[in-house]
Parts: sequence; C-alpha cells; structure tokens
Amino acid sequence: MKNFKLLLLLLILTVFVTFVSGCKGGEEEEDGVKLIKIWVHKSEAEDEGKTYLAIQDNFNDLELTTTDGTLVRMRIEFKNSADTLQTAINAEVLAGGLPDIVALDSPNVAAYVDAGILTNVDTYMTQAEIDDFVDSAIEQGTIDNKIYALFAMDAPVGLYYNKTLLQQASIEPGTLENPWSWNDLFDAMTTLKDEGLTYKFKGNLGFGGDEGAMYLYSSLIYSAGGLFVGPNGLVSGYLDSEESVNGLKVVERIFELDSADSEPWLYNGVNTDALAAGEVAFEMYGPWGINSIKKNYPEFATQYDIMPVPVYEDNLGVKGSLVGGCGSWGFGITTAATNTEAAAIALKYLTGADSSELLYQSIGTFPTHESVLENNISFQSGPLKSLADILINASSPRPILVNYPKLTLAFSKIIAYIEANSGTEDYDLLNYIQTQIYSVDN
Amino acid sequence: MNQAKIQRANIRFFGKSYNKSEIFAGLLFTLPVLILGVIFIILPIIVSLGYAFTDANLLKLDQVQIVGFSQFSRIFSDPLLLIAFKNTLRFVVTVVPLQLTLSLVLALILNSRIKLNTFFRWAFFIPVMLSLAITSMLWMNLLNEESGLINSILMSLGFDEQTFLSNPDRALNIIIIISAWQGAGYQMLIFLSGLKNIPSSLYEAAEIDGANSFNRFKHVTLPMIKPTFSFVIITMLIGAFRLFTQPLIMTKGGPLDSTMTMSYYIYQQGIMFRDVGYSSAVALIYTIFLAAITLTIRKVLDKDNTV
Repeated sequence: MKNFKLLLLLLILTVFVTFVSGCKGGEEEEDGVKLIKIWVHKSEAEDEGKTYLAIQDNFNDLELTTTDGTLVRMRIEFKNSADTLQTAINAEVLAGGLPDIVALDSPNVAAYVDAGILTNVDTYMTQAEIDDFVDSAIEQGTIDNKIYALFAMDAPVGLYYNKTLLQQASIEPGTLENPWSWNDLFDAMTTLKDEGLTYKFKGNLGFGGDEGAMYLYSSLIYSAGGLFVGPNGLVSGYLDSEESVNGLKVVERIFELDSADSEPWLYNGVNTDALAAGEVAFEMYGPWGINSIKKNYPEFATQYDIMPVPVYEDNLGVKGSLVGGCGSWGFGITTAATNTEAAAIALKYLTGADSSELLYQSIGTFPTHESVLENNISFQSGPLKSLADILINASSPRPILVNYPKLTLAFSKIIAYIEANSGTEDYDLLNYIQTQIYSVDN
Repeated sequence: MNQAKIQRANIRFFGKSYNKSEIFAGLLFTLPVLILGVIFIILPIIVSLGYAFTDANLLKLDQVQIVGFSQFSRIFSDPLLLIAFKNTLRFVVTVVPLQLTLSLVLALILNSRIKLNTFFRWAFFIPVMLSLAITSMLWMNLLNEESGLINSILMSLGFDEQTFLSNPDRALNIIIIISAWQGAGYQMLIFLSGLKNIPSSLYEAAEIDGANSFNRFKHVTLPMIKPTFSFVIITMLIGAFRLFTQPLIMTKGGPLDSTMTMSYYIYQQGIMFRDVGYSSAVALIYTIFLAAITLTIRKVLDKDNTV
C-alpha cells in the first residue's frame, strides 16, 4: 500500500511537472515601467539576431518614457525562424498571448490587418518621421492609407554587371533616366559573346524558395503595364491581362535564347559569387551581393556596378515603366499591446534611422531612411549609391493582398512552368496562368 | 468471510472479474495518455470536423461563419486537388507493391540463415529508426544537383549532370524509391516474424514430396504468411495515402505540383494559405475515402484468409 501511494504521488507529480513545464512564466513589470515584448524571426546566434539585441540594449540605455512618465523598456524574444514565428502567431491569435510587437514579412501585413492583429501607428508618428522613410518602406506597411508596419531594412533588386567587361565591349549600362530593356540586355550579351567575353546572365530563379520569383521578377508584370491584383482583391482579369502576359513572355524569351544556343545563356552553376569570379557578366539580385563581394572578392569591388532592373519593351520598341522589386521584414504593433504609446516608442526606435544603419552594417540590408542614405558616406558612390538611387526612385513592394501566400506561390509556379515547358508541344501559358488564378481567387 | 471480502473488492466487466484497487491504479496510469489523447487527438478531430462547415481562417478563428456545404462544393471544382489526388494514387499504386516486394525479399534473405545475419538485419532496419525528416534531408544532400554525391559519381563516370528533385518528371519517382527504401525495413521485420512461425515440418514434407525451392515458396511460404500480408498491406496503404514529410521537406509539393499529395495539399491550404475551413473539408472527405478503402481491403483480405 505504501509503495502504491508513493507511486501515485510520483504519477501526480509527473503530470503536474509536465503541464507546468509547458507553461511559460510571465515576467513581472515594476511600477512605472512598461516592458515591450518583441518577437523576431531570427535566432540569437545569427548576425541579425545579435543586432536586435544591440538595438534592445541601445534603446534601454536611452530610458525613453511615455507622456505619462512610464519608462519604456524593450525585450527581444527570439522565435528562431520565420515558420516558428508564424506558428507562434497563429497559436497566440486565438489564445490571446501575442506580444506587443511582432516581426513580419511585408506581404503579411495585409493578412494581419485583415485579421485584426495589427494596430495602425499613424497617430504616433510625425510627418517628418514618415517622410524620412523611403516611399517603398511606407508603401509596404500601408493598408487603406493607414500605416500598420514600419521597416528598418529594405532589399532593392538591381542588375549587377561587370563594368570592365562592358567597357571592353563599349557597351553603355542602363541608368535610372535611360534604363535598359530586356532586349538591351540580350543585345549586350550577344555583343559580349561575339567579342569572346564572358556574357552569361545569372537570374537567381531559385533564390529564396517560392518567394524569390516574386521578389526578383514581379517587375516583369509592372513594367509591361500589368498588375497582379485588381481593386476587387481578385487576380482574375489582372494576372491574365494582355500586359501581364506580355511581361511573362520576357521569361519565355530568356529560356528560348538559352536553349537555342549551343552554349547556355543562363548561368546554372553554384558559385554565389559568380559575377566576381568572372563566370557571368550580369546578375539579378538584392543588396546582399555587395557585402559578399566586399568580403570574398575585395579586388572586384571597383570592377562592378548595379543598374536598374531591365524594363519591358514592346514590338515597336516602346519601353515600359521602370519598376524594381524590393521588400523585407519589418515590425508591427499588435492589438494585444496594452500600452500602444509605449509600443509605438519602441517600434519607432526599432525601425528608426539608427537601427536601420546598424542593420545595414551588420547584415547588409539597405537602410529605409533617406537621412541615412544621404548622410552615410558608404552610399555616396559606387554600387551602394547606384542601389540606393534605385531604392529611392524605382522600387515598388510586392503586391499587397490578403491572399498573398497563394499569389506568390502561383507566380513562382508560372515562372517554373515557363522554364520547364516553353518550346514544348504541350506548352500553354495562358491555360496554366488560368489554373493558377483559380487557386488564388478561390 | 475472506471469500466474501474478495468478492466485494472485485468488479465484473464484460464477463471478466477485476480487482477494484487494480482498476483504480490502472485508470490512474492511463489518465495522462487519456488526457493528452483527448487534447491532442480527439478534440482536434472534432474541431476540424466542425471547421469543414465554416469559412474558418487560421488568423481569424474567433470570427468563424457557418457556410454549410460550400467548402465541399469547392472540392469538386479544384484542379489542384485533382492533381494532388492523382499524384497520391500514383504514389500508392507504385510504392506499395515495390515496398511489399522489397520487404518480403529482405525477409526471405534474412530467414535463409545467411552469414552476418544480425548485421544485415540492423542494416535493413536502420532507415526505419531514422526519422523521415532526417532521411529526407540526407537524400536531398545526396541528390543535390550541383554538389550532391550522386551527380559527382555520375560525372566522374562520364555521365552528364542530372536533374533530380527539380525535374517534374522525376521528383515523384525519386520520392517513391526513397519511401520504399525507408519503410521496407519495418515491413521486413513483420514478414520475418511470420516466416519464423512457419513450422519446419511443412518444408520437410514438401521436400520429401519433391518440391523445389520455388514450389516450397509458392505452396508453403506464401499461404502460411497470408495473414501477415493482410496486416502489412493495410499498414502500407494507410502510410502511403498519408505521404507528407518527404514532399514537405524535399520538394514543397513541386516542381510544378508534381509531388503535391493529398496530405501536403491539406497542410498547404490550412497552414500556408490559412484556409482552415477548406482544408478541414478536404481532410474530412479524404478521411472518409481512406476509411472506405481500408475497410474494403481488410474485408477482401480477411475473406481471402478464411478460405
């Protein structure tokens, strides 16, 4: 009997410990202090995570207060990955355990606002503070003319090119005022090839999983005058419009050229620094390439530059508008925040000019503040200046709609379909686009 | 007197007598699993059943509207769902015979008392002990088109670099082969236990009757392991219809939906696209379909076993 009681006690203790260990203890707040909890999608071990900790320490050292004198303190909580963060948000939306601020990828803003997860922050921002952000950063966080999320970093897309090679072939690169069309790019590649120089193009089509296609190539649609989604929130009638399909046909042309020649036009190797290594002449990519070249190929730093992404050109030679992709992770205040003013103070610091610059220095993403882009000496010349100009003048965020996860996957599949099937007997781009539209709109 | 006390302390349940204190202890010991089972299995099933009739969105589960059968009507006009269903069927009809044959052959090899029997038993069973996530990652590395071992070997032998998981015509076939390899060890053990239970006298009698090894296999081994077949086929079928981890880790249902399976489609709709209502409706219909298939096969095999 004694043994049985002991066993019973052990059993109860085990169950109790199991349940209690699953519950996270809340942190006590002192009187007059508001602790703002922030969930981020990175781990403490990553450079970005370390930077968030530095931002947290800098903020806490400032001892900022709300209008009623409450001291605002910041605490970063690491969720280690985008998927884990998303799962935590999904769970806590129902359980009511959301933190004050969450990290979010820009295309998620619409869905979070639609679900009532985010609070708009306009009232806590001065016009000067809004104006200091580059337009694309504000656009990414704005739904129905209200700002719901702020961004400390951005990642404009540009066409990296080997300056030396272009000079050798007497080719003038594209500029913001006179951007290259895709035809100009193909012509340049032909010229380089004819002169026996490196001519290949690295499209980075597999970059970033399914999201990479939208990030790097959404400009194809916009530049051709098309749209992904209409004011009715539907893709049908927009992604399959003549303009959008014309934009997509540029991808068709790329693969046609690639397969028509005995030597491939597209780079299909694994070297992430193929441009610096002299394996390609052009590369479509975000700002990370600059840091990578600086670190791995410092001698190449003066031999390359970045031009705006090529624009669409119709059969009559009329060029489309200049629109480059961009977008990154930002932060929004949740509706669970009990002291929105305190949360706004933390959010503004977290996405402010100082933090923006710190993130640039640490992970190479672009600052979202014009003051930083104008004052930081790094952005006054070379590829950094070129990309900064692209960000300020010619970058547009990814489409904003609640069904974005469906749209980005559909777009990625359309690009993959063109790559796998163009030139074959079964190839039917319009029909494939219609199938994808069905899955997005339904 | 003592006999009466014992009688009072016992409880009769379904014709069997149980000691009261043992029942109490038994209940206490099963309580944790019962609680966890209800929380993590029974309740989610009930909730999912309910969501199938709503427009539930993962981010708005507090704002659910009942929409009747409209989620079910979507099922029959969804082209991607049809692709997922076809892919799943293709996977099932290919992997089940493949894995069945492979596991039976392995079991027969181990039953034949070859040298290093224990080593081979471990070698064949190791893939089962590894999680699907780990083996999927392992194969992804081996099949990496630019830096994987398989392409390196092929190229060193003078072949061209091959596409594997990025090729829509090959991706599902690769997953079929990997799945058959991964699961065969488990089914092999079940077959092996069935083979061990065959009395050696039957083989001796067959040998006296002049049966060669093929006839011994056909007329002794196969009939004797028929009940094992029933169990193995049903577990294989259920497992195959639930194919999820490999597409999730290796291909994300791609390229071009070539590895999109029903389980992955349900996950994609519910978690990635947050369309919990539709995802639950698909899951419900699919569960009913699986239950019907399983029961039919079980009936057919049971009938066959009793003949």
